[in-house]
Amino acid sequence: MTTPIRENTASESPRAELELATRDALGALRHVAACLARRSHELLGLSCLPGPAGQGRLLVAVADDGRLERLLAELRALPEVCGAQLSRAAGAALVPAAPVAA
Amino acid sequence: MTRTTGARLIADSLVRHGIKAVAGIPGGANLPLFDAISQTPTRIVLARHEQGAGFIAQGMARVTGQAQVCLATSGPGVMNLLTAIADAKADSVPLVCLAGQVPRALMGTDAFQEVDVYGLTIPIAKHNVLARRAADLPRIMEEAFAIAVSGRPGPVVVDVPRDVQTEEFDFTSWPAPRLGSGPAESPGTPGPADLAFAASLLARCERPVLYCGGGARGAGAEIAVLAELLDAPVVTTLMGLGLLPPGHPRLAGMIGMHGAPAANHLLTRCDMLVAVGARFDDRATGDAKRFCPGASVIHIDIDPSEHGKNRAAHVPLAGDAVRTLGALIPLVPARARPAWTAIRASLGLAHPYALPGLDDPKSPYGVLAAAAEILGPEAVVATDVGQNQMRAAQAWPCHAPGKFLTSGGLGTMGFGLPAAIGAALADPSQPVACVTGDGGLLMNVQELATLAELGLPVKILLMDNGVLGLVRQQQALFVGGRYTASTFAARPDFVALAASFGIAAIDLEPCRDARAALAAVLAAPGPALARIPVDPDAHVYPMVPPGAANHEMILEKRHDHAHS
Repeated sequence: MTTPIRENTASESPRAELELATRDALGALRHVAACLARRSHELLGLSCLPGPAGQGRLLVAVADDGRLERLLAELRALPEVCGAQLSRAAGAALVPAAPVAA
Repeated sequence: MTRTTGARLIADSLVRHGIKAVAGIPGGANLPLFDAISQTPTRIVLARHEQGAGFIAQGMARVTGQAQVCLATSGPGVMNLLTAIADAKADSVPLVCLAGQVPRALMGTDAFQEVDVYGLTIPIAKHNVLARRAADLPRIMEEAFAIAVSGRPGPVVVDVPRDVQTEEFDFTSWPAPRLGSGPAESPGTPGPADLAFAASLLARCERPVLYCGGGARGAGAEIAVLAELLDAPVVTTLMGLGLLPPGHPRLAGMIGMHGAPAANHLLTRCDMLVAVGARFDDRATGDAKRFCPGASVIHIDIDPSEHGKNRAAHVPLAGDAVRTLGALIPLVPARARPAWTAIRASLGLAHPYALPGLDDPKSPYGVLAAAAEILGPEAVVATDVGQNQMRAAQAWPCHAPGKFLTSGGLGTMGFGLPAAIGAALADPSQPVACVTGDGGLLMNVQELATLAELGLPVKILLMDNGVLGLVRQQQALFVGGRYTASTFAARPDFVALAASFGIAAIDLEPCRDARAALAAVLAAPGPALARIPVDPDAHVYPMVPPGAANHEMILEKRHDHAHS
């Protein structure tokens, strides 16, 4: 059994939404922007929503080019981020939802 | 409850975390912090450039495995620190970098010596934080030390405005640190299904190789056990040197651009690659698409973002190497693989490689072999970057992790001398060899003053060839022999230079008995420099050309331009 060489291939869904619960919204925003910019992820939309006691929520719409799992792993490692999930639901929109678990 | 200031709180935090020495340079924006630290047992080492301070702290951290601290003032001070921070991130070295910042009221006004430290360090630090209130500092400092060493270690930058350093507040207690939410920060053991799947693949494979990097540090015993069970060889990256001692029956050598030919060829033949704490770096893999082309991959890494980054794995196992291997080993059946052993033996015969001049202490390899023999297995060596680094990686017998300090990921020239100073600070009882070139030494030459001041037993082995050697080598091999901007027309008298700093120095070139002279240098107390003249056209072989597969190594005298 040989390992397939990784190729970045787009999934069927052309876009996906990342939902991040943040401890420090401004810090998280800057780090998320840096993570996206460094590897030229295509940013389709971004929304920052206030939460209780300084917490907040970032909704990030990005093109799904097959690299999002690693992006998610990177974002989960940020101390500014206390929860992260990825949604590939077709037609998903940047609408507020219940915050992800902290 | 105690009334204190931000600066005193930070100084107390250093003591609390066992910081015996910090390296840095004071300036207007961090004077309160220096003043507070001076009133604690923590020793302040005055570097001569902030990059030197960063690498001194790195030297301490790489030897001890614990977070160490460097300090810089605002603006140019912290700008000078950036390379050392990025270097620590690339090699997963735990640092806490304390930056002074202009007072809060001046932030954002383009004040004197103001830069956006937070913004500058986002892509190069593991974590960065701006202290907006002194009362936040207990949490910030606890988190800084916890994050620096947790999961995959790395540098944490704490930016502290001057007025936050002087601000008073009521200190009550040290809070528990909050870490990131991902498994990289709080790694567990992979699930039983993943471990069972990995074990089943291992049971079936016929030609396994264990490929180990810096993240396997501390897991040498487990690696050796797994290698025995699988009857497998162990190869390491540059950062994995010392994982198994020289002569260990399972150790097949370093792979990569200047790795051992037989080790590189082993990889092309394996059908199972167990990667442990290694990130499939391009210098280790060569052309990634032709790295272990027929192999299944089990990838053990504490940082799940490494899984699938450069190479897809059949079984990605996220977790600490020791714990993950500890859970995997009981599931792996022991089986001899005589056919694979025979193939390994034949590859060793087909691709022998002897380093030239090992018995000549005036040659670049020979002086390394002689110094290593004289200093013994406990010695620490810090290298610079370039030919000296690769020669040291090939020739220096490395007996344990934390003994071979090198800038592997970022490849920063100028690393060697300050890192060696840091290593000697961590343990002044042992001589530290600093293997460097004339190009690299000149990039942080000012730290000779720091070294002279400290009187530490750092022994500089200077490979003086008057060129940027590895650049020249690449120009010889891949740029038609056109040596653009890689030759130094002005050649310092390095013996006189060292002497001007008050450091004993010797030129081995005229010595009749170079080995005896070297032994005297290494045995003398305090710092010393030994100059070894090196032929600028002496190449480091083998060499995998950039973009080529690892088995496509250039060997000496096999290339059209190799000696033009």
